[in-house]
Amino acid sequence: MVLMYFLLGAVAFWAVQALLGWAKREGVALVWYHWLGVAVVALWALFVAAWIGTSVAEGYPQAATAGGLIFGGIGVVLFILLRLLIVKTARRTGASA
Amino acid sequence: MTEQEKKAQGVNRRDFLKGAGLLAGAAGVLAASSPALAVSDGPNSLFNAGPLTKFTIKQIDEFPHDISRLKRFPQKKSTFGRPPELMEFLAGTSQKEVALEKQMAKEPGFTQLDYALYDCGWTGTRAFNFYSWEPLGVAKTGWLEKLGPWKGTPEEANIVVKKAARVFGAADVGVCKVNELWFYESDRKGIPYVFTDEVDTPTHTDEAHLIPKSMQSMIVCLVPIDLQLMQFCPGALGEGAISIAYSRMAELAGTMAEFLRQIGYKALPMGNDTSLSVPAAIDAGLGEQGRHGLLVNPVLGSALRPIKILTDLPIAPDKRISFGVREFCKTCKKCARECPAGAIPFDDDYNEPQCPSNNPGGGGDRWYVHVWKCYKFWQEVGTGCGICLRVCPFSKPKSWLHDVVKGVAATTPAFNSFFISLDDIMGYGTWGNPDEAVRFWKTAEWDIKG
Repeated sequence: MVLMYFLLGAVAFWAVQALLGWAKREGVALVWYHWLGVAVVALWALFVAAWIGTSVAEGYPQAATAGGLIFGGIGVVLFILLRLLIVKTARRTGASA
Repeated sequence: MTEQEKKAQGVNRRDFLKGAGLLAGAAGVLAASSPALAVSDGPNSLFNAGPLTKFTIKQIDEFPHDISRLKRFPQKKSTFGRPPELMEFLAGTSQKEVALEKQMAKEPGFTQLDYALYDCGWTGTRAFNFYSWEPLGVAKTGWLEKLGPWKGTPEEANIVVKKAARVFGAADVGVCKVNELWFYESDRKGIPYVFTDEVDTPTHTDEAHLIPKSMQSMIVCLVPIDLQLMQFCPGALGEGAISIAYSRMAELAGTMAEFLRQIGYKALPMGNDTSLSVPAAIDAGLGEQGRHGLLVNPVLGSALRPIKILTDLPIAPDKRISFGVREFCKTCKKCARECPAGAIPFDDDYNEPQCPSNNPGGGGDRWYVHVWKCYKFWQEVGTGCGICLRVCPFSKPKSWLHDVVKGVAATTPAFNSFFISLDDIMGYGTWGNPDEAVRFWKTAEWDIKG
């Protein structure tokens, strides 16, 4: 379980770094509501991963699967919406894409 | 890669590793303090309950049920007092015959090994009388001549008894002042329990069981029931979790009584005998009564067994607690839905007594269970049951995940329906895979998955 939380922390950090790198490369200016969206999606992803890990550790594989599908599905939708928001806003601000 | 390109990447490798190390370290610290780690660390306890559960528990002053019409109940009218009307109700059923048939058929969870586990799990409570009103002879009371009884404030005594009980195996401990209403009027033979100043120590006579009025503190301890084994309830394998809990109850009660005797005080240990457990546990701040008529504790849920120890050691009582169980039970009804005997009511609010083993004065603000139907099912299935304990959404391993749900349910009933649906979808409280009941005896691993 400690390893799981360690990996979650590392992956979250890597994801934020990757986003920053992408934004700079593409010349996208991220504003506060982008970061809010990123935080929500990142926290949601951590929640889903922690749910799956905890459920497996507790001995409830069905909870891990069902929770992964339901909450993971919601996470994917949130991610797509966030991506659309950032891309759309970036175009509107006229940043190089 | 040029310096500019590196900047475009956001951070250099060194900074990345530094940051990742910090984040991972922080996650590690969080993990170390996370209840999720303690899933199989042994007994749960309110003392180390999840932070949200602890934060949202409310303390209440009054007993949460109307007991103005309550009268003490004769134990011979209870199910285990086996009143003649109950024996008529049970006619044609035989637990022993069913048990033998199932063992011969090698039904998963009902095999010879499973029954040996279940039956012999009772050894601690049936082979030795830990509930004796007499000292067991272990406590070194001779030292009291020189030392005198231990002295401390009631508040200090509260901590002392809790510490001792936890060391002896209690998952949680609470203290209340004695309420004679919680005591049976008389035992299964009709011999009355009498509170009196005429005796100095608890005494049995042919006419009465005499309890000194000076014994004013009641310590209530909770013994956890193994949730892993419980997944095979009803069944002899699953019931092993219950029988071993009963043995631990007896040992804990007897050990606590001896502890109190060694520090110079009288002690009367009780299991399911002498007094009711659920109201005493509510009084001692250990939980609320659920739809299934049993205690629901914030951490253990329904997977517990209470014991009581009456003593003359002055102990500060604990506050009663509320954490949304009654509201949750009004919506949930999962125990009623899953009860194979149809013994648990579906009424939204509260119901009337269902059979002569319900104490009719118990209030119009609680759910009565048809305990005879429940007991009849035990005869039909060949073991005890325990489904209601297992399916109760509060009966969960201790982890952040369930802490969040319990914390929210304690704060508002608005999400109760959602939580109950989620509980079903996630597959909590379902019967363990029969293959796993077979595999239980074929592998040295302890963790059996449902």
